[in-house]
Amino acid sequence: MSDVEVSGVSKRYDDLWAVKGVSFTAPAGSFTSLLGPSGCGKTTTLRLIAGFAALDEGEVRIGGRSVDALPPWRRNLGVVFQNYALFPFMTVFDNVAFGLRRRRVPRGETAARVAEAIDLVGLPDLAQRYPRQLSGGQQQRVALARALVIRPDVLLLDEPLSNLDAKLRAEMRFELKRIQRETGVTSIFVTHDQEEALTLSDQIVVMNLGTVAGAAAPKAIWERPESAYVADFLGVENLFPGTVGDTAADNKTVAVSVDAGDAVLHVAVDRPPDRAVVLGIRSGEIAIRRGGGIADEADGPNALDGTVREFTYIGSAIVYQVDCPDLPAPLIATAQEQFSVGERVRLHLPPGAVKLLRPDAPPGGSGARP
Amino acid sequence: MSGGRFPASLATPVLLAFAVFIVAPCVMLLVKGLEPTAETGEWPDFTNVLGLFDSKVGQQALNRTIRISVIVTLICLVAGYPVALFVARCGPRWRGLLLAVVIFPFLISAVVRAFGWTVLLGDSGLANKGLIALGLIDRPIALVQNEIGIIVGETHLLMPYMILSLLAVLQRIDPNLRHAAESLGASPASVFWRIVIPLTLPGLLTGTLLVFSLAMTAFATPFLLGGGRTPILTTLLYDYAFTLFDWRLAASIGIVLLILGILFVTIHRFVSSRGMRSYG
Repeated sequence: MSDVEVSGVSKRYDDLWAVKGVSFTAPAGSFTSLLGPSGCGKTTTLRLIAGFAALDEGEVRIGGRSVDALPPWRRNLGVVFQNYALFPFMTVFDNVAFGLRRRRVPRGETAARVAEAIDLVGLPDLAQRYPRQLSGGQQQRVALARALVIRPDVLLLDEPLSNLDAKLRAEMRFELKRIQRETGVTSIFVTHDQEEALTLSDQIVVMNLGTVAGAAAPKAIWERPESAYVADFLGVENLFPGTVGDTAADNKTVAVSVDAGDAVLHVAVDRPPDRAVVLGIRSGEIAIRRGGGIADEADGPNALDGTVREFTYIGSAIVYQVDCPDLPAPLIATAQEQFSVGERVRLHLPPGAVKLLRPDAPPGGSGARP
Repeated sequence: MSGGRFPASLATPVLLAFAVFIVAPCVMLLVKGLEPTAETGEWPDFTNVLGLFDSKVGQQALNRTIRISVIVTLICLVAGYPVALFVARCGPRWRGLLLAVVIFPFLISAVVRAFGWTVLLGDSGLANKGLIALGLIDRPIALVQNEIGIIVGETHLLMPYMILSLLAVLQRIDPNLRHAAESLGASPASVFWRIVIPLTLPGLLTGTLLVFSLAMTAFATPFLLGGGRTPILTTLLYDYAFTLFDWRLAASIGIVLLILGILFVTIHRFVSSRGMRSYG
């Protein structure tokens, strides 16, 4: 079991930096997710760790030892690919045994370890089948067994769940978690799915345009995202640029005026914020009441008037799009209660729920120019 | 194309042409080749076909045909594989140019190609001069008007079939398979023998089939580069048909070629079906 230190790693393709100055540490035995949209450099980072591509700057250290000079076949890493990359002309047994045979493990031990790995990933007795005779989920498990049987220092997973259907994906998420806990192998997992990252990880590294936009434990990054980009990627639906004004007498809240709008929101803070910020609030933390009927607290500072523009029913709740005259864009809020289109409502944004975020580049795009 | 909707009548013209121009000649070949030699004999008479191997010329031609086809196929395989690998790994810009170079032999007429080789391989040609300059030989050796000439010419002609067959499968290999093997501890040599070669087996078999059958039935190249003293089955057939006007004997050589072809395709199919069982 080894930790992985990625420090200042850059990779250029022609005149485009796919990855620029990426640094993070995956502690030994931890599960780290690289999260970001396609083209953010997360897969390139994984390929650099695996050694499939040579890095242009920086260093990758595994277990305290630099691996930059080592070819992939000397790094002792397990890699699971999005398309599984099983050898089509080999049986399940031969696929899993491939790495052991390259290590000249004796025949008897190979058979025992293959059986153990197949058992670990929860595969039924399919050892003599060929990959094309297996379902997607079974192929996924074979790929995992093949990567784990060599007892790798680090397990690298490149969007391994994205080719599975929704039900199987949820099931495999639990399986992955169990397997990682049982083996204790340091894992680095590339995904564009925030839910996967949140449920599986000890640490989430959010990437944008080839750089790290933020890194923290799932709970921390969910509750206190550092920047507007990270918040946006982690499902904070309402983001408005704002300017910080007066601090309250008790130093616990500040008044922030929304740029391009008349609203002034009070936000709970634990340290003095920068002047230019982005205000963010999740749809579920906004309270909606029928127009004018808001009692006590809602008549405080963070109450806004609005008109329901549109709503969608998502089963567990109803998502509303509400036009507020004081805000530059419609507010997204969820509620159990049914309101109709055009109905006047009052919204309350609790000061503790509004986040002050660091403004940064908008999400999307593919790589930064050098 | 959705199954049964396709009108069979559209395929009729070509199928008819096949029947007339392929099946009919085969039938005529059999009729003529197995024609009885004596007035009293009955059809089919295998004397000619079997008698072919009693004559020294016939025996030599058969052996030479098989020998040359095997050698040409092996050279195309061993020399063509690295070329196909190289072209497959080139960027799209270079690949187009290299492909043009690969198929270039197709664009030259057999006569021009043979003449070119005659000049290069002749006693005072580039090949002999080079070998003398390197001190490998003292005086020119015969490189043309013999089996060497035929092998060189046919290899040149048939190499593209092998390279294109291999390229077709090489380009479809998922690069992740190589990466997966590498991450599991396979060195580049190990990746080549254990992953790339098995994955290219279908193309390898197709290329072998094409090159071998074309080498066996080639006529112009061995005719022009082999000289008169190295007959192979096709040139012998030509001699019987157009010099001696013995159509019966010519047809019996045709039957031998047909049997060889069918035999090779059968063996090939057997090997393929065994080797490719796991490909589905």
